Amino acid sequence: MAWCLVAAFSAFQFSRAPDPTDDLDAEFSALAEHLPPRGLVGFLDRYADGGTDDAARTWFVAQYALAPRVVVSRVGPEFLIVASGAAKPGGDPRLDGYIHIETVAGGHRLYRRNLP
Amino acid sequence: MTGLSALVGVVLPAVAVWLTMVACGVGQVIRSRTVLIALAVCGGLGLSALSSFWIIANGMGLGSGFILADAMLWMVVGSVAWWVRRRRVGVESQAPPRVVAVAEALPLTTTDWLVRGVFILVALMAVGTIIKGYWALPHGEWDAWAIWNQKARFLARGGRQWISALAIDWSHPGHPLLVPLTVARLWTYAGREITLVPAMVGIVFGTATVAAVMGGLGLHRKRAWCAGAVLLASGTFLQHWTAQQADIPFAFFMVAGLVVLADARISLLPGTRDTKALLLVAGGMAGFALWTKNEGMVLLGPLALAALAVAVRSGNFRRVTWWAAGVVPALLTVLWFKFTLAPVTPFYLPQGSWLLVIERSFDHQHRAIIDAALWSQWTGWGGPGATGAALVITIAAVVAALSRVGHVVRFVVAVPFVMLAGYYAVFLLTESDVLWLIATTSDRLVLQIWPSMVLAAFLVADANERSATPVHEASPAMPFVDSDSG
Repeated sequence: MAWCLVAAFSAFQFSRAPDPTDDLDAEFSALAEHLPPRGLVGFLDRYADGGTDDAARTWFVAQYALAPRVVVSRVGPEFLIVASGAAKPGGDPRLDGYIHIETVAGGHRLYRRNLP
Repeated sequence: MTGLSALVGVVLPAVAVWLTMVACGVGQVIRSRTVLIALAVCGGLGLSALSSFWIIANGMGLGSGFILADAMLWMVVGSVAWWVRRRRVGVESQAPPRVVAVAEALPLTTTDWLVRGVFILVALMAVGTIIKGYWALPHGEWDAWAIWNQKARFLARGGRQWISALAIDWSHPGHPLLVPLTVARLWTYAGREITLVPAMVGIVFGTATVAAVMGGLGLHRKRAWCAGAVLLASGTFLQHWTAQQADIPFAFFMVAGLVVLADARISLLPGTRDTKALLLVAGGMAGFALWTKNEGMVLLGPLALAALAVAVRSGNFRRVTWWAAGVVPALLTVLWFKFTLAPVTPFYLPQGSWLLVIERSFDHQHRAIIDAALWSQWTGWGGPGATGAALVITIAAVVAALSRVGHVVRFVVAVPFVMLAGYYAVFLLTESDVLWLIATTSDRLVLQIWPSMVLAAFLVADANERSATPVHEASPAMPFVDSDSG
């Protein structure tokens, strides 16, 4: 029983690292009013370090925030989300044919395909 | 206020299931009111997840119409059960009174008070840990927002288009829907998507898990309070209460199924109708486990054998069909979901040629790598200050199973061990990166069997405590569950 008390106190004292999910969720949720209620939305991969946990987290939280839309990690759909730091500085060729329509807190941007 | 509205969604099916269990006589056989409440609350959530699925599968989105249909369903079920119960009371009032346990009426000793006091201290610290966990991660851990709550948002927001969730291959579209449906349903009752709801689901199932283990051991015994303290001492266990994933609900359905089967195994006279009701409830728990996680498929086999053993002991092996009847609603739902809506083979199952699979299973070096990784995870499980808890409790459960009075422990402990063997086979045969798979899943796999192992470890503790007093009629050798209803 003494071990139980020590372990329970240790568990109580344990602190977790700050979690960015809450902020990311709020930031991406702000894009919802500019998007159709459902359908595909593009998500620009990071120009560098695209395979990191941090990059995956950003994409997955964008999906979580914008459900029931389906956020796909590619260029092509009418709307494209460019998370903060995803586009290559100085002009990213992947954004050719898209026009910027909104920037929300956190620096995430929304683009729409420039229809002919 | 929204949190209270969500609670209505928990209470309605819980009351209906409670009344149904009492009407079916389950309340007279499972003498622990604590276990009955846990079964009613979580069984209610399990049943409502099944009914919600069939309602939305027939085209109704989650909205005010859904709340009306859902609330009506549980009120009708509860009313019918109440009517049946009243009729049964009229018939049974002429029968001779049953002998009931009186052991709990004995005065508490100093040791009893000491053990209860330590449990309360541990429980208070656990409450603090849980609150801190929720504040730190209001959206839960990675899998919560990447899988479970994400699906819940599709269900709550998507109307008939919720099915788009199954197009997202990285969020495991084939995972069963009990947890997402429960969260989405309670969000609908709350009227808002508050993070408190998925956290509350974890806390309700976590509390019910502790209640099932302690109630199963008999609240008037020291062993129940010790087991409760041990359960709550693990930081890893507590961390998952607010992780908003499906492992705590799965752990509950597993241990609850075992508690009911063990009670049936010990305390029933051959041929009574109560055997049927208990087997039905135990089958229901197994079915809900299946509707909670894919691991339910692994759990189903050993639980089916345990139910068969109970049926044979009751004098008629065909009674196992009552257990099967409990499983069938969830099983059919899972099969329909997996074959028609989400026909996806889990990535960790072997998909190559059988020759390669066989070759891998005989690869000594591959096995040695897996053994070392699993040993490291197993011995390190428990959380801060509780490292090694899983290993110690497993050893205690094995020692208890090998003891002279350990026949029930052997029965209980066999189920998690067979499950572990199943998981080991998956690790051995998978074509995925097995070290990554072990590192990302083993923590939760141990968590799922943790309550069952604690139950097994404490089953023979204090076996003779207070046994000099008259106990209920059919369990003279080793009372498993005595009344804690006072």
